[in-house]
Amino acid sequence: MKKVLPSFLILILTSLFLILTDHYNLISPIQGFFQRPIIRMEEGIMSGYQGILGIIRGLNGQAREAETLRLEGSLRQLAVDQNQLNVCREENEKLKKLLGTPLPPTWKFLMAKVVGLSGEMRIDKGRQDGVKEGMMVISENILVGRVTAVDEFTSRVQKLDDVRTKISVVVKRPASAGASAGKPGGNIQARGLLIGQGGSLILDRVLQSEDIQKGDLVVTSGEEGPPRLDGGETGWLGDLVIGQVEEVLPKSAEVYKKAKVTPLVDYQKLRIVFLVVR
Amino acid sequence: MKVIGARKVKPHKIWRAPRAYKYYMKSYLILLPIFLFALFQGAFLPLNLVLLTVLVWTALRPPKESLLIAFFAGLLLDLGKGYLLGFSSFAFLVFSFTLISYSHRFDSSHPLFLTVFVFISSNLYSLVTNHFFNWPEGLVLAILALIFGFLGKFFLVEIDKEKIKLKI
Repeated sequence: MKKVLPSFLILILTSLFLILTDHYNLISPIQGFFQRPIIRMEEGIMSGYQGILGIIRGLNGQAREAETLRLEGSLRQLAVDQNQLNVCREENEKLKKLLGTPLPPTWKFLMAKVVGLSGEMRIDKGRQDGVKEGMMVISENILVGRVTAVDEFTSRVQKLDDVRTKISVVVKRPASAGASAGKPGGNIQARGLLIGQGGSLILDRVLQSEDIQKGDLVVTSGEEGPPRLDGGETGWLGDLVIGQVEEVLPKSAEVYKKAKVTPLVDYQKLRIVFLVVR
Repeated sequence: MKVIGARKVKPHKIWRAPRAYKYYMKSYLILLPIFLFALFQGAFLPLNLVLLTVLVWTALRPPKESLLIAFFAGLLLDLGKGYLLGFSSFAFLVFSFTLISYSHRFDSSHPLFLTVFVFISSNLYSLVTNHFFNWPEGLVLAILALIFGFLGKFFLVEIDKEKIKLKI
């Protein structure tokens, strides 16, 4: 043991030194030099993996056909809802102009490729591309996650099912014949808090009196305000679709009811995402 | 020495690497599969095969070599996954040193001991990186540690025979 202790201490101190220097971005150029080829290799591996996954899914075509048809129907419904949300937004913009309220700046997007999916998601845009901690990541108007760490050439994105995820959301019923479509907030069924639980999403803090059903859309409310890009606690942009209610958990003696939510984004299929640059 | 004319000429020496040097260089070839594991883990693989390899290597190999492997494996994993450089090295060094410390009290190369240790280490690492105990991943790694522990012990007999030949 005594012979090993000096080696151990030297290596531990070296590790701590590297952690500190990396934390303060003192070795970014050196790290970037080694990371660039690794990112290229990981991109290739990801492409190969997604290609193989696509082939396997193709082989299971018959079994998935019914699921595909059901999903296509849901997508059409979501497109209708999206259109209604846009109508509400336009009306809101016009009303704000009339009242003289300052409008938020126009959203700009930065495209990024997904290079890693295990644990946190990794994308191929970093500090040199203007990425900052707290930036929202979306795909086809669906919320994917938020940037939690930024290197010189890559960034890590916290996925929705991460245990640190806590998003204020509203639950909306997809447009139907009886719904008051076009009325701002007309089909909001409930408000709650979406919590990540290591692989799944749970909708919590929904009052027992509020009605939520399987198939209801879960959308960000934006109540915490816009995200801050200084690495502190940040909010989430509003009106971004997250998922659908899969199952309302049985009633209990608690004040709030809970539900399981299925995210609309399939992380395994993601290749391109967009960062909201503000 | 040869005598050519009136001069004594030393025979030309051809340098050959000592057998011990070649033996130690072969040991560090384990970093190649570790690098591949780090790439796959960075891309899509949810299992921490790098941690498994480091701990199995620590259980079966000399302590100093194991600590160096743990350090470099950690650096490779940090580069592959985008963590703070040195973070995984620190974690792997702590786990390896703990395993080496316990090797005096328990047989650290015993597959059952290694299995439990891998399970606990994997969960601790997951708690720090992902903020929750990923026990399914730990269970799979523990089973793999059991298999590789048995295999490693078998091949260790062959390595020990070579060590005896080299008188190391």
